[in-house]
Amino acid sequence: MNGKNMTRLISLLLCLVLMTAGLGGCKKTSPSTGETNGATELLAEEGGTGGKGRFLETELPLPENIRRLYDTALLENGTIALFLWNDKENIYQIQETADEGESWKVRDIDLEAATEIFAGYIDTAAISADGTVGILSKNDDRLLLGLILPDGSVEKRELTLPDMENQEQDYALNITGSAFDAEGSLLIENLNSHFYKVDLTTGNCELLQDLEEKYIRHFGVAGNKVLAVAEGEAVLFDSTTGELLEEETVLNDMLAADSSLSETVSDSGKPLVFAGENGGEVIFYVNHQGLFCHTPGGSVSEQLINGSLTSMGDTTVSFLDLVMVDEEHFLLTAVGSQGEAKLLKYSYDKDAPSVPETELKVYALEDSSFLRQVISAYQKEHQDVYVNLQIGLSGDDGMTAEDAVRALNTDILAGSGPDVLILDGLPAEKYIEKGMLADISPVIEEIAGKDGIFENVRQAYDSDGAIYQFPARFYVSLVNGEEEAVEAGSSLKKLADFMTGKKTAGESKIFPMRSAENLLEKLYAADSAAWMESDGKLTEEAVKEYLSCAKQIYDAEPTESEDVYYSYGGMASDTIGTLDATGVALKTSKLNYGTIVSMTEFTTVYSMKSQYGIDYELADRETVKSFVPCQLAGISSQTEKSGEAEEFLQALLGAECGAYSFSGFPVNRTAYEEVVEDAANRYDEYSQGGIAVSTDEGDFFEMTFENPTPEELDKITGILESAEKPACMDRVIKEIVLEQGEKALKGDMTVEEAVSEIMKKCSLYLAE
Amino acid sequence: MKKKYTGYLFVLPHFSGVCLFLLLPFLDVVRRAFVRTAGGFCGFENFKLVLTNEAFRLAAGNTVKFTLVCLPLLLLLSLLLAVLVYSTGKAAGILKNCYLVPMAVPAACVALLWKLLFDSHGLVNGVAASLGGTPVDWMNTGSAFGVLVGSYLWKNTGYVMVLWIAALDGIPQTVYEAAEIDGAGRAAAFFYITLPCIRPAAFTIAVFSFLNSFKVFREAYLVAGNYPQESIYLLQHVFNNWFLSLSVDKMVAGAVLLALVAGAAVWALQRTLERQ
Repeated sequence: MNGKNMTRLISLLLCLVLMTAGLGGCKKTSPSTGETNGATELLAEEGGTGGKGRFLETELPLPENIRRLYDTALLENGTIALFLWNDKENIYQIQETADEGESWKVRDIDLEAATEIFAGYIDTAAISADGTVGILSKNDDRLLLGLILPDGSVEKRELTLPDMENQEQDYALNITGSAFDAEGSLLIENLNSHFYKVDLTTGNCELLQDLEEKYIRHFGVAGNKVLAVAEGEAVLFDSTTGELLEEETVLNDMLAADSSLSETVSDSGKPLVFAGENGGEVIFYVNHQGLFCHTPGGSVSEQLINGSLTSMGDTTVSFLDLVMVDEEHFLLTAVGSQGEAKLLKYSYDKDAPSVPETELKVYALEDSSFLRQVISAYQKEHQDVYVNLQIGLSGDDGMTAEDAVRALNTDILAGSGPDVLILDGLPAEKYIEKGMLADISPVIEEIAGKDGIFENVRQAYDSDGAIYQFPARFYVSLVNGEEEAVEAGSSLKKLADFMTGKKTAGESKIFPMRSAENLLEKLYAADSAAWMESDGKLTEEAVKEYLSCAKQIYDAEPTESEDVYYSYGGMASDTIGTLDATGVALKTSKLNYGTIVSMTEFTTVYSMKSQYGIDYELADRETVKSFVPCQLAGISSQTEKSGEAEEFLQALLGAECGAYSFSGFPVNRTAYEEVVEDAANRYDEYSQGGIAVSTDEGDFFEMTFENPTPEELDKITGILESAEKPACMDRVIKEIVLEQGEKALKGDMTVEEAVSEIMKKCSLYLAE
Repeated sequence: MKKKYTGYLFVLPHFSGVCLFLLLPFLDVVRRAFVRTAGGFCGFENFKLVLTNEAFRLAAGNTVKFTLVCLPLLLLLSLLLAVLVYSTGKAAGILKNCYLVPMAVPAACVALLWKLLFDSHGLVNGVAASLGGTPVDWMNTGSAFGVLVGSYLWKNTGYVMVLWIAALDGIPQTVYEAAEIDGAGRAAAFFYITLPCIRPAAFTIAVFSFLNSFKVFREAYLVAGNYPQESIYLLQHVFNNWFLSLSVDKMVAGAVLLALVAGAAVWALQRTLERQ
């Protein structure tokens, strides 16, 4: 080959390389939207849906009336044992089942012998494989160990810690955790992070490890290995000798990557639980990512269960205990967001596809615990479907809402868009206009027929018999205060005049401490429903009235209030205008104005009325009776999985999930009635709550929470039923109004100029 | 013959990229211009929607106005600078670099600079106030258009000047020397030698500057967002917002119209220069 040909060949090769490199970026990748829940990645790793074999989840029935579950164990005879507090009978119980929860039997305990144990403060208990329950009870500065033996007899030991004088005395007797190891030895840890082995016959404690410097958050036992979780690391030591073991890099990396795993443990569980096999030769652990298997010294952990396909992925759930039955069966006890205990069983099914064959994509701009709960509930009922939750704003990458919407639209146009859309923050009206959302009225009808639904909400979203978007939850704006103030809150004009009148009379602290933005948000939630004309245009007069009144209210307070607001760090909840129901009694304001998003908040409002005579009504009711929708859902008209999408929507709007959240009232009437029922019976002689505040001025305020009366529950239900129009949820309009409104309130421009700017910009937006 | 094919071979990689990433997608855009967002042929309905859309008409008007103001100003200013810099001899290199600096400033920094300078409480108003002047809300009044024009000129003049200098470099010095011997002055040399000689380059520079003028959207968007003061609401704002609202029907029809208008403008310019 001569030089010329060689040059040609090289040129040709270079051309090919250039072309290939150019095309290299064209391969199909995962969606461009933000964070996903991991199932897509797993699917990719599995090389498609061809693999077989997966752990399937089933929830086993638990005894009723569990207020707190202390420990779970699988006994040598195969029964599952629980130690719990039964809040109906107000008693500690050991309940056992030999048929996976079909029937539970209460173990007979010698209650007389256990009196002293049960009379103390019990923070932790552990069950051994032979059925002995070790209960740690602190009573009059004495640390007692109660042993309930398998036959129900009770023995008592007084524990003495060998190194009492070498540690902080106040914390030494606070036992934060206990567990039996594979040898049947009871291990306990106190608040000073000292670990002891307890001699069950004498009550003598042997110091195994002093990890005070590490500040251990929680610990677990895997066979004969203790795994003590500190911030960013796991300290391992032998439970029989106390000898420190080599650090596990895999566990340390996991803890360093996710700080929530080393959060301090509470009554409601831990973020990470352990179990072991063969004395700890293999360690199993569960977190929200799933169930993992780790061989000490190994460089990787094997994922046995993908959390996103089971209840493990629900971030509102925390874990209590992991029990390995055998290689193909695990038991997990957990606590849900409402404090409800769960007993979950995972069984390996070699015929089940390794990843469910059907993928349902659910998109939401922002993550929410409610949505995670719904997904978890749906996943449990539909193990052949995996829900791929795509979150537009994961919060990790500095992405703006606009970027996220752009990425979502790219996916939709590329034909890989989501099947179900949570439309909060998305241009829902534009999607409807473009025919991108399917009519979901049959689903709504079905739920309305089965569970009932708030008719006012349904009518608000009815568009000539079709429904394209529907909220799972909603809330309203309330005003509370003295009679005069409540009356003033019936319209913005009256409220503004009320404020001016008070100011003229020389009064201060009229409206709750706020920033300009916060005030605008509060008033926006109540008033914006009145702004849109039937032809979809913005009413200039209504916007002008809103801004003029906001300005009048803002000017009626001394300007220092803005500084005070920020000196308090600008409470995050205030940015959505949450009603600060106690302000009037605290004398920090003459009235309160804002949204009420849950029955728990209503309990506070009611208690204020009951004890201080501070009444409440729907805010801005003379102008417009409005509600704020949330978790607005729709189904893509392009989806090929309309059946699954509709089932998901039924779960989202259904009675089971409806009662879950604290962010809004459920539109589902059955779920709402459940919430009402719960509110009516929440507080009793055993369960009480209240607020006590002493102000800088020396005023003292005290309030006990009371269960709302049926009349008051009817009243709030009536208020919710009367709200006819949804607040303007268009992100662009809201941003424009708040941006210009803030300038007007702060005096950077006049109200007229701000209204003119708003109208120009919004007209452009609406004209597009 | 062989030479002819060798040329095609060299062009092939780049041209295939252009085809794959520009021409073929544009053909899809043309197809979609006759289809609704959710599917279904709709004839010229999308074009009608676009042409009757108030926002599009405002943006198109602003864009035309911006181009008509900026392009001549840019070409004249940069040519003037090019001639002046070219005549400085050895210092030309340093001056060229200085004028190119704005090109190297990232759009985000330019946006920040705008905010610092032209905010209602910004530096310009601060200076104006200290001199007894009346502060102007630069970005929320008609003056926003002037700010946008100024920014475009500031950023692009240096680059276009370099293009002009390259064209000036191509004129043989002997022509000027002969003209000087014939008694031609500097003005005569400029009008009768320089301008005719750089005319072929003028087309490329004008087209380039025209296309570059669309990039000013970045700064306008970063400073004033999706809905700026109406005088600087440009076509790119409309396209960007249409994408956000998934108005693909209008977006593609608008893109086809824009391509037609831009193509016609380039063609007209080429014809004019050829005729001259």
